[in-house]
Amino acid sequence: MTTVDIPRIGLGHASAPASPQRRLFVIGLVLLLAASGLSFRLVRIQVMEPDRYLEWGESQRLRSLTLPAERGAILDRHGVVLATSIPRPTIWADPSAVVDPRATAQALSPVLGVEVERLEYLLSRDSRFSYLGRQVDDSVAAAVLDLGLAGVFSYEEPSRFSPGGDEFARSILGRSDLDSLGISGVELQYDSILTGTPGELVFERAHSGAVIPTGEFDRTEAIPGSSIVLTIDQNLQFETERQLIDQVTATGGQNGIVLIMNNATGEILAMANVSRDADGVVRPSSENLSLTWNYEPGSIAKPFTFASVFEAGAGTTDEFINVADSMVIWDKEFTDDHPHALEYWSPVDILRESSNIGTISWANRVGADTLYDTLSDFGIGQGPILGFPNEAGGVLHDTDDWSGTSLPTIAIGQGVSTTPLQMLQAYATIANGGIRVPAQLVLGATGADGTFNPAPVEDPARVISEGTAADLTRMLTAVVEGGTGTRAGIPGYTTAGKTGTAWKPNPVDGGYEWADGRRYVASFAGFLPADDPQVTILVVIDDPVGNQETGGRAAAPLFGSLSRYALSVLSIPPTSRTAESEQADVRSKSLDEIEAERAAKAAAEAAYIARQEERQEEHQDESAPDADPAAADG
Amino acid sequence: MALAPSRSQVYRRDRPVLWQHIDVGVITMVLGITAIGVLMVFSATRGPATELEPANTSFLVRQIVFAVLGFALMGAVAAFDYRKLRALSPVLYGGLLAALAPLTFLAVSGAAENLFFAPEVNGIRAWYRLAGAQLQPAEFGKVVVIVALAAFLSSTADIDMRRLLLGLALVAVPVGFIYLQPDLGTILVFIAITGGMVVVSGVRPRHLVVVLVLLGLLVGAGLASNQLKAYQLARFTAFLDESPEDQLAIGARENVEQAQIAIGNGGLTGTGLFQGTQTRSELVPEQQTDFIFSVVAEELGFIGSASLLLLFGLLLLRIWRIAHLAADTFGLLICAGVFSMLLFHIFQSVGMTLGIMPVTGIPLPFVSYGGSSMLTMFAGLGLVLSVHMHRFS
Repeated sequence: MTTVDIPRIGLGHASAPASPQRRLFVIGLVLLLAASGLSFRLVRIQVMEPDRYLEWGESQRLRSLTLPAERGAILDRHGVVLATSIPRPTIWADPSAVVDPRATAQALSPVLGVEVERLEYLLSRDSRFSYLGRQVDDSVAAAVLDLGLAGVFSYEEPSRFSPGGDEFARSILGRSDLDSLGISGVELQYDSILTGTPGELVFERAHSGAVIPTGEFDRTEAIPGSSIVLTIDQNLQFETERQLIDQVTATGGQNGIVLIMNNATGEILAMANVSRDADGVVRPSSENLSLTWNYEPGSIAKPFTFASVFEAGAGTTDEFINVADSMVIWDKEFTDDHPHALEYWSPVDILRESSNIGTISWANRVGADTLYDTLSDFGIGQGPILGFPNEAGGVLHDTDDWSGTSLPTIAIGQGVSTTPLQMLQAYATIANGGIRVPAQLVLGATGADGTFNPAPVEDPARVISEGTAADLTRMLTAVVEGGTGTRAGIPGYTTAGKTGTAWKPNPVDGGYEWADGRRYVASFAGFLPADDPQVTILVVIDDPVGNQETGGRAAAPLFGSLSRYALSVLSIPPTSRTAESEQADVRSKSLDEIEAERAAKAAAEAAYIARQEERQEEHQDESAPDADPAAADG
Repeated sequence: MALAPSRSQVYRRDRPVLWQHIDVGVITMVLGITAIGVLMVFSATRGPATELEPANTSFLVRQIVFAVLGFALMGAVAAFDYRKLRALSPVLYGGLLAALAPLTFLAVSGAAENLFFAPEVNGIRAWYRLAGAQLQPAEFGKVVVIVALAAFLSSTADIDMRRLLLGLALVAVPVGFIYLQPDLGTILVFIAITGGMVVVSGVRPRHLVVVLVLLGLLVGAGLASNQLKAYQLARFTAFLDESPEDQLAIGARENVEQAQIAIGNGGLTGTGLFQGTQTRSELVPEQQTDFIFSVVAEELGFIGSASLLLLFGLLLLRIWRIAHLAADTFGLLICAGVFSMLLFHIFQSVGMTLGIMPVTGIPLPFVSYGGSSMLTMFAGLGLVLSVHMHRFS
């Protein structure tokens, strides 16, 4: 074999086999080519254009997490917290990190109080996140974490908490779900205000879901929701619920409603709704019946029939007429509550005795259209007032749809339905000398920065003349003085009010007959002190039994008791005058006076806001790092 | 008067002579590469390593054990005279077939997936589970085939067509078994080894052309058959298609993209050890095994990754030099086989992460996590060292 100076790589000769040593150059060449290829590509990716890959990588690693905004609280008129959010631990699992779902489920089951099968399902799902227990007690969370189970974690999330207990004022506050979304009541109605603006956390996330510790992140803080300030007085609300529960229990009723309003401002101070549950125990209702219930008010609507008469100029308070104890209109016989001889009664007498026949006689004088106009002016059956979730609006049919018996029926508060709040507002209108001041449940919202935004209010409007209102007040005072509502009276104050013992319609069969006879809705509506009305109260007891079924027996005593409490809470002094001088002195407010009162209230509110802001600024000054401590001391 | 050397003197003189010819360059390079590998395997597997969850050291510990065992194996193989392997090669070859056959039978017959001693992993049945360790016969088979083919090709001075085809058949039998398991990456390694050795063995160029045509037909038939799993094909072709539509291809493409993001992320100087965001994100699949180069490139940057490639290059040059200095063709062909095996492993594994080679799982020698691969590579180096150390004896 000959050797040449130039290394032969052995491919030159077509036929002769080459020496292996020379052929080694071939694989050496392959090494060179491979090294060049890798180097070229590596330099290009890492040195020439790494930015392209950097951005690409960042975009897929960056993840964002919504930071829930702290939900605003719900406060009473004095700032007492009725509902707020507190952090509570939630137990969750990353099923992909759980080693043994069965054993983990068995360990967790007794601690969380959840079935093993359910937990095992949650722990073995094809997911990276499973809730095991939301918003559990701190002790439960601690016990779970003590188990040291792989893939089981906890974090804190806001949970709704009512310092007054879960039942207190629940029909007003409503509920929010586990995700802090309002689902009923004020929580739902003002959800957007309470919710606030969520923040965002941007972070680098590993494929496994873990946050990369050294990863960059950007944080936009959440803006907490505003707090809703109710017109409710927590004290009065509590006492009202307590007494109402007692009264519904004592009278054997199914439901009970009490509304207490500052009639001059329209602010609802207490709104109690109670129901008898399946076990027969009376407790605060979750449904706000004072807003959601269309009911036939019965005799407490009679004053509005007389308002219609007086406004139309069809009669006066001292015009006497003959009143029998029964009359037949078309096919229907109307009777008074109890038999009596033919009487010669004025409207004052008729209302005091709550005579159906007398009221119907007067209603016949004014006719359907006038009665309809007056009732609708008072807001009866005219739709929701507050915009509360599921709020009803009552039903007052057009006169076109009235039958021959509609006028006498509606004149005595049957065949027409209202919500309890509509009825309260109508009485407050009389109390305000004929001016309707729209009812209000929310004073406003306090932002996270402490600024207070008052809720918008409708302007007051005159419904009936001052004279008519005064006449009605005198008649209502007589009811309490010596009529069906004497049990509502309290010493030291003159009360104006009216009882109602409405027949409860049978929704299944129609009409007012039930299998066990008649059923009633007993109520009492009124205001006091009669000479300068401060509070208007409505008490409704649904379906009381036995001899407790009348408004005078079931509702009036509670009215008396609560009016006494309300006056003491509101610090309204007793009037020491006698009944006679009171009657002469009954006065109602003019529109000007009401507006003056509202102006005064607005001024006080403005002063309050100014004071708050001042306080806030002071606070900021104190905490400002550049503030001179010596100056603060001085 | 010449003194007869005492037994102890003979022993003393004999042994140092053997070890004197050891190639320090190979040892230095492989130790450096293995050290980087151990570090990178730890980085890829330690997890988030927070106060609550300490770093996972189980992979680190096992990799160190593999490296130590491998190093010891290399020493043992090096001390063994490679020429004795010529006689032993039929035994080794027979042992390989005996080890591969049961796995192939199980794969073809579709036996229960979780067979106790031979589990199916990622649709491939290539492992024996033995006393807590997993053994992959095909890995060791690479070294066995190198020895057997070197023995066969070096047994005659001239290699005619008949001997060439017989030599190819020698490789084709175990490759056929592996193809049925089916382990695509390993087959490619065998093809590379065979190609390198056949070229170096000195076959005639026109015979080489015949071999290439045969190989082309074989690969075509292999890809056309249903034996390969769909994902294997998808991954294999993903690097050719910049914007694939097929879901499997998209998944494969994503793996490559993640690896390239990691490499780009490293830049010139790297993100620092344990600081690679792509690595920490666990976005790169199989990052402690087949994609380990992306971890090196991200955390140690161009400086680190280029240094690693340089070490590999120097190691291959040493092996090439040893082949050149080999005392006989058998030794030369062994070195050429090991050279081809390492070069293909490195080029495929690194090239895959760089997007210039198809995605098929092949470990980066001495760096990727795994015992079978580590022992195989060290055994191969042991053969090379043996060729070098015994060249004068």
